[in-house]
Amino acid sequence: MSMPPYLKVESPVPNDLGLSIPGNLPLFEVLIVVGFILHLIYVNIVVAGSVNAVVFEIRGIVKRDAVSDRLALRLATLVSIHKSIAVVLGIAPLLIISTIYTQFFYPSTILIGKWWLLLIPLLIVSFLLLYAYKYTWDKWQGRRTLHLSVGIAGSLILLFVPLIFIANVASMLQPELWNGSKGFFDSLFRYPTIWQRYFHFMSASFAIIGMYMYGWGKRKIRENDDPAFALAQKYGKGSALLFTLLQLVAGPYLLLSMSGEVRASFLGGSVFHTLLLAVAVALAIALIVLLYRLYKADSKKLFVSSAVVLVLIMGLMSWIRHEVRELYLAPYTEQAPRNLKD
Amino acid sequence: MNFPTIDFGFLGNGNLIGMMAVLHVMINHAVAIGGSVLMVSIEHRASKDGNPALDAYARRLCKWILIITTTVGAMTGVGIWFTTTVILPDAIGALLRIFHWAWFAEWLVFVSEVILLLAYYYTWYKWSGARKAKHLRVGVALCIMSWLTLVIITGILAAQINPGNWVETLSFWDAFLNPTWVPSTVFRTFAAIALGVAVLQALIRWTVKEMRDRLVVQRIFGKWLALSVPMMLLSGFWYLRSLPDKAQTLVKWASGMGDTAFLWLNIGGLLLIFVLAVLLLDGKPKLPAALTVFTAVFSLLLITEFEVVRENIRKPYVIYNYMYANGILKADVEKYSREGALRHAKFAKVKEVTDANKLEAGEELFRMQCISCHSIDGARRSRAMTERIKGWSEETIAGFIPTMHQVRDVMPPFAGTEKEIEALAAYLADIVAKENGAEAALQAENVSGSPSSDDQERKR
Repeated sequence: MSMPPYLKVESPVPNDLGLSIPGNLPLFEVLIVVGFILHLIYVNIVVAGSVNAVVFEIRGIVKRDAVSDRLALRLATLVSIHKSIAVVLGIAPLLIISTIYTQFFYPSTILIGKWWLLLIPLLIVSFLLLYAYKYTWDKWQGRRTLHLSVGIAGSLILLFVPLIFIANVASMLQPELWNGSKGFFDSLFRYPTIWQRYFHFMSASFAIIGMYMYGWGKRKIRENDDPAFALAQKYGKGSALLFTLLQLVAGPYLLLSMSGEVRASFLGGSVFHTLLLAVAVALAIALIVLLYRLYKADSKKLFVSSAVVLVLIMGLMSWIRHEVRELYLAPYTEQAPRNLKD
Repeated sequence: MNFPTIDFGFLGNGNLIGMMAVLHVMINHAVAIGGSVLMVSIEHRASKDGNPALDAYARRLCKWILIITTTVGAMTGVGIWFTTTVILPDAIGALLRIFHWAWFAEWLVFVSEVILLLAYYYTWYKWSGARKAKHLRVGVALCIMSWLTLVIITGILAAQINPGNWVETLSFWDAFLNPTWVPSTVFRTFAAIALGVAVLQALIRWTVKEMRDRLVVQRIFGKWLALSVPMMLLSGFWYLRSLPDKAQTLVKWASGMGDTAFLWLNIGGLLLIFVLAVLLLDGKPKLPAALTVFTAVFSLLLITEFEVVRENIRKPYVIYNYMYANGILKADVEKYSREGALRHAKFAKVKEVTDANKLEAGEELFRMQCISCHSIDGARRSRAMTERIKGWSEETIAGFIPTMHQVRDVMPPFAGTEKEIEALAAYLADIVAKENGAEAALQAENVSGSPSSDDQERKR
């Protein structure tokens, strides 16, 4: 059952386009790492924020608590503003990934092409539902089930959408698995890192919205002593602590799902990669300590330092994510090199 | 050629890009650009007259502009990227390599546009009274930013049809500063304002109830319209003159109208819109509803026509003189005809045509070289093979393929070997006969009211 040698060496990756990449690769890489994390912070806030809006509305109904309901409305407003920024901030990383990883990103996109296009109507419907959710808050006081269903439908779509993106970026890293691919749902179980990435992302979303709600509540309560902002602070710091702790499970779980070579690079195989991960993990543990102390006692200083550490971790994670991609793709770019300007 | 292929079946791959683009252009032009200019003009007037009702109308417009542009508007814009990436990866890939930094600059402008729109809406009541001037400045900045996105994107769209010296120099500026850019930008700018007026005027009886305010608003609309219509006519002619010769001759064909019909419909329609402008300026409280409805419908059709024409006249190319509409490089055609297209297609399952795999090879070739515009069966009949080659024999098809680019100006040449032509012909003859046969059988059944095929099966 030996394959002819020419078949063995043939790369599954197409040759790069005839026109060269218009610029200096490291510049593109810095832009994509920075651009992506900016986009992701907003996406985290939108996804977890819309879920939390629904959660607080339900809490308001169940406990007959007007404060929870007001917090839910404020969250829904916040989500509708942040989602507009999340969308525009997503364009730069998409532009760069399309330009510098064309050989990988285009095939992986086309292989889930139908669901990739469905993203557009899905997001339009979700955004419109979330606008309706916000603007009918008072008008539909008498029709709570209807109002709540609108919010739930909008958030459910937002919970689903990241899977499409993750399926694409996980698939582009493993061209050896493209052959026989049967579209989006098949992808979800074809590529071994998808659910781990989803778990890591979701857990980050609820940690970040927690942090955001705390800071936001703290700032807003000074000009408006609505108890909803006090609730936002209390809930926020708890959520930030809990989900950052969960990241200590989600992160290693994701690392374990990666291919042997990539995993080994981060676990001693390469000094640079190991150091990068070690710094991120150390910062995550520091963040947990800070968040625990913040949880016990309010303090502006603790909040500012936690927020700074969190931003550092996010930046590092985006960088690590880029390094993972480079490690996965290295053997392929050797076989089918990118068309760089000389 | 480099990438996997995808088939959207009855919808049609090309239609999907077209529908996404037209929807996006309608919203971008009518709402984001036209709507914003009118909204800020109305706010300005409200502040000058100290008219809170007018101010409230401008704010209502802002709310709807915000809702529409940040949902359908923004997502269909991203959608044009998504559809082209999936359907025409070689073309959008090449465009991204040429125009990366133009798109990047457009992105920066787009980010500022969204932030300005959010700021404008959420500071409406906070920045009133003495701070109204500052609020209006945000509005003006918003209009400029929305317009700049149009300016940049139009440079790219115009370069697709008229890249000037780019094909030789491969220089970004040669492509971007092409002769079609300025007229096309001017045309789109005023079309956007006219569209904005057309849509808002059609809704005015419900949105501005107070008659005195309505007259004020209509006069603002009238002024903008009276400026826009002549500018559209002038820049429209300038645009036509700036096109490459072959594209000029394709314009009327692309609109699907005869010579006189094309001229009369477009100029006549614009003149009727000008009549509306005069009536609006005249201060008539009640305008003929037919005229406002006509203006709204006609201007939406006009912008659709403009997009359809723009998409069609650059044929057979997607990037003029460089890449054909199916993503094949002009420079590669000869190589593929000699060595075979399948052999060079990374994702093709069949690499060489044999008697056994002929139909499969033909399908691969159809998906590689035809599907970006044609579908086997489809809603757009002029693109559906079941219509175009209805009743053609395999030999007729095989005879037509090598000459189709000479017979039809808009068709790119087939890039492949004799064997590949035969395979494509065999596949097309087979599938078209099957589809048409199935349809004919179905029709025959419906007409005669005979028992369904299930029943016949059982009887047998």
